[in-house]
Amino acid sequence: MYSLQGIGKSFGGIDVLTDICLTLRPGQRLGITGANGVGKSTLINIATGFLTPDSGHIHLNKKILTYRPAWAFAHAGIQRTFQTTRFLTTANLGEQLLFAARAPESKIRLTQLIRLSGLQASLHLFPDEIPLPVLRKAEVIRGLVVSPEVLFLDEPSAGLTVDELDQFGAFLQQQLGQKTALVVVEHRLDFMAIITDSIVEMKLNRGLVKRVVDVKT
Amino acid sequence: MDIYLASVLTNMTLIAFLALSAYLVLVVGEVSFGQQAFFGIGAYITASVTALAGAHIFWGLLAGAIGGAVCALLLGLLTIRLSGIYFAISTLCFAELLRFFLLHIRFTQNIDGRIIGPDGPEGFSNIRWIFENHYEVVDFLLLAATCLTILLILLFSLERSRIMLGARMVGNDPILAQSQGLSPTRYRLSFITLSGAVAGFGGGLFALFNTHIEPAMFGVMLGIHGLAYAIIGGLGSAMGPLLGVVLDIGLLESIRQLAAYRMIIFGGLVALLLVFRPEGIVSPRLVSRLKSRWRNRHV
Repeated sequence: MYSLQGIGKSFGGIDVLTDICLTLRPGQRLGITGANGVGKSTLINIATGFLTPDSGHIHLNKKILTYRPAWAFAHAGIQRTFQTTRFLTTANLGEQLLFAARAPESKIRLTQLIRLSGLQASLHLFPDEIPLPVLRKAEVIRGLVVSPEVLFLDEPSAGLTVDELDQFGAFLQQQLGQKTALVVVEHRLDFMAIITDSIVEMKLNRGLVKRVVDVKT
Repeated sequence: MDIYLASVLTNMTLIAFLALSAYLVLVVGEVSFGQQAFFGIGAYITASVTALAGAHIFWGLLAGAIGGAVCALLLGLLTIRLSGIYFAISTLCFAELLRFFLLHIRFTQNIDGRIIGPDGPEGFSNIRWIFENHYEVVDFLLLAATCLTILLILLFSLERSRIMLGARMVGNDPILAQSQGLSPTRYRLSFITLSGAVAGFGGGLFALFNTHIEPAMFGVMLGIHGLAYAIIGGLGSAMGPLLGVVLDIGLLESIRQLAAYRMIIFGGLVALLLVFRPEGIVSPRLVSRLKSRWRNRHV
């Protein structure tokens, strides 16, 4: 169980998030959408520890994660991807995926995931020699191999064509386990409709972010 | 072996420690202009422990390494929130501070009619360990080369472990490193401390070999050379800094016809490499490629 309670954040006097609450059960698939600038990225950064909230609490299975550094979030099992994929440019993809899969069971899972995703051909390449759709998959695999509690995807559709997106969605559908909760922050509702159970919309209200609103699909 | 050749090789071995220590800081993404200070501190401590206290060389070198590590850790803690140019300038200030501190240490003793011990700007004379133990230049070269080989073996096993890839992640992209569960602060502090130990150890050997050391020897130019060796050699593996040392000291300084033009050629070489091969000769990509090729052949 992962929860955000009463999260607030302001930048230079501008309130970006006020009183955001969010609870995720294992296996839940949640989509978050909203216009540009409503604070989706801020929310994902706070939820994964890359920003510290001004108010509110973050819990994971009764563990308090608020004010912990981002690497401690990752340790606790909160994984994320980035809008622009992030890899080390000086090591090949295989090395980096192997690095992420630290435990023996993760290594087994990694070989499985690589086989299923058809990533074998790219393993010996450097990330800047690999096309974006493959890198997006690789980034998700890097998050999934550790069997995370929560996996946050930050605009996974950016830069992908419709076909690639379908493929990517199907891959995600198959590979998410029952343990991992998924949060997708996205503009493309068609894509989210495939991989999520519910979609919520973030809204700005008089300059303030309103509570996350349910818009059941 | 020719004494000139042996002393050049010894010199290269000693400076290799400095280049490797600069390399360790570069790996975690920072540029240090202060490694010469840890080299100097190590030299003074080793000299004191062996010449003044009369302890075995093992304890002398160990104390030098620990002294270098402690100073480096202190620097790491002081600069914990700094990076980039601010970190670089702090290391330079810290190093000069340590050097000026050495200028003011006076603690001489008369042992068997010889003045031994640090004497301010005059330095530390009569470090007679190599004479007392009848070490010829070649013997000392063997000792230093053995120490360097052991260090290289340690660094290569580090290179094969997860730690080095983690350090490279911290150095290249701290955000990526954090998302992989690595603490950039811990990595930086450990690598800076380790770099201090390596420099301090090398400084200790330097003191024993030179028999006389003074603060002026540990000026900024020494550190800049160490740094340049690591940068031109490349950050792909510990072999990079060694290659840098061989190129500069081995070729430019030692070939007498070239010696007069050394700084011109060396400076030009650094500039050319930074333009055409910014990751150095032994670049991380090159090493990664070689590794996977080697693996493919042996699987």
